Amino acid sequence: MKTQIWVNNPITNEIAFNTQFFAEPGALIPFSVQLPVSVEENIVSIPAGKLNLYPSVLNPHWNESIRISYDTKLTGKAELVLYDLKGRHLAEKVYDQNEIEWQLPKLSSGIYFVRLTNQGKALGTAKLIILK
Amino acid sequence: MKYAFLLLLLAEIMMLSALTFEAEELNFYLENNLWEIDGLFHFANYDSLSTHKLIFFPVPSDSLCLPPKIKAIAIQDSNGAEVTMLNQAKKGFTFLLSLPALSFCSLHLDYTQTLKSNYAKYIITTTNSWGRPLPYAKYTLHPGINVQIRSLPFSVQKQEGRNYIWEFFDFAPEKEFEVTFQTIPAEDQN
Repeated sequence: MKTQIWVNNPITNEIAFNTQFFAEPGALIPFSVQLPVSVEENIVSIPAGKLNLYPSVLNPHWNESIRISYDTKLTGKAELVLYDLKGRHLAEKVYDQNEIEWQLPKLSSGIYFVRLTNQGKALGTAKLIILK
Repeated sequence: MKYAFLLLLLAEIMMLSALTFEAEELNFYLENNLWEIDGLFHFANYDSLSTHKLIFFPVPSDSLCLPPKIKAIAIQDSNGAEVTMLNQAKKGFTFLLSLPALSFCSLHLDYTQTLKSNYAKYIITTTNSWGRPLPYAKYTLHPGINVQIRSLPFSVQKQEGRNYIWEFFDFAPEKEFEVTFQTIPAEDQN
């Protein structure tokens, strides 16, 4: 069964931990999370922005790349991850400019998701439809 | 009693459905009094359970003299999705679409209609019944060699030869896809 666990920082309300895994019924999945415990700690604040993806519908007969932008300036390492509808991790790319072009791997028709993370935090997810 | 059970079953099917309509790519062929729709309808199931949905596909009986003749209805590249035709009438047809958990499918549907005048229509506003704009729609109108278009459903976006192509993102149609045309006699085609 596909399972997703996320933990919100109670102070900033930002997502401090977010993961997906496939668990068998009754299985115990160990994981550990480090959370700041007071406001005096160095909490990294990431400004909220919007993840834009163009085109949101892609027909590989036309092209195989998409343009991605996040409308807020980021610091530190940011990464894009491509998932399919079942939550499988298909590809990843470093996001290091205001707008990047991503040459996607060969994909079959379906629904996909592009997720942007920065310093371990998920900032946004955009849907991509592939039609063949 | 039997009908009550069937009604309950249908109600359950409708309520359990987590099916979403994601895109459509339709080709309209217009020849004399024949109107053919050949297209792909793309659906997704985001739920972790399989889903089933009864879909009524309306056809505009006001522009037709006969019920539609279905040439093909099938799932393309099936990943466990299934389609079952349940009923066909002059005003449309009903089929049951089933999708496995977390899956996507493309339904190929091809049918013809005999027109009774120089007016062809395809119902697209039912797209709005899915509760959100359609993420993507592509329509291509292929007028036959002896067909002269009088009016189009939308202003021209793109033309390739005799064909008209429209693309819409997050599409919430306000009117139907309607075409009026004139048939050119064979001796006038040159």
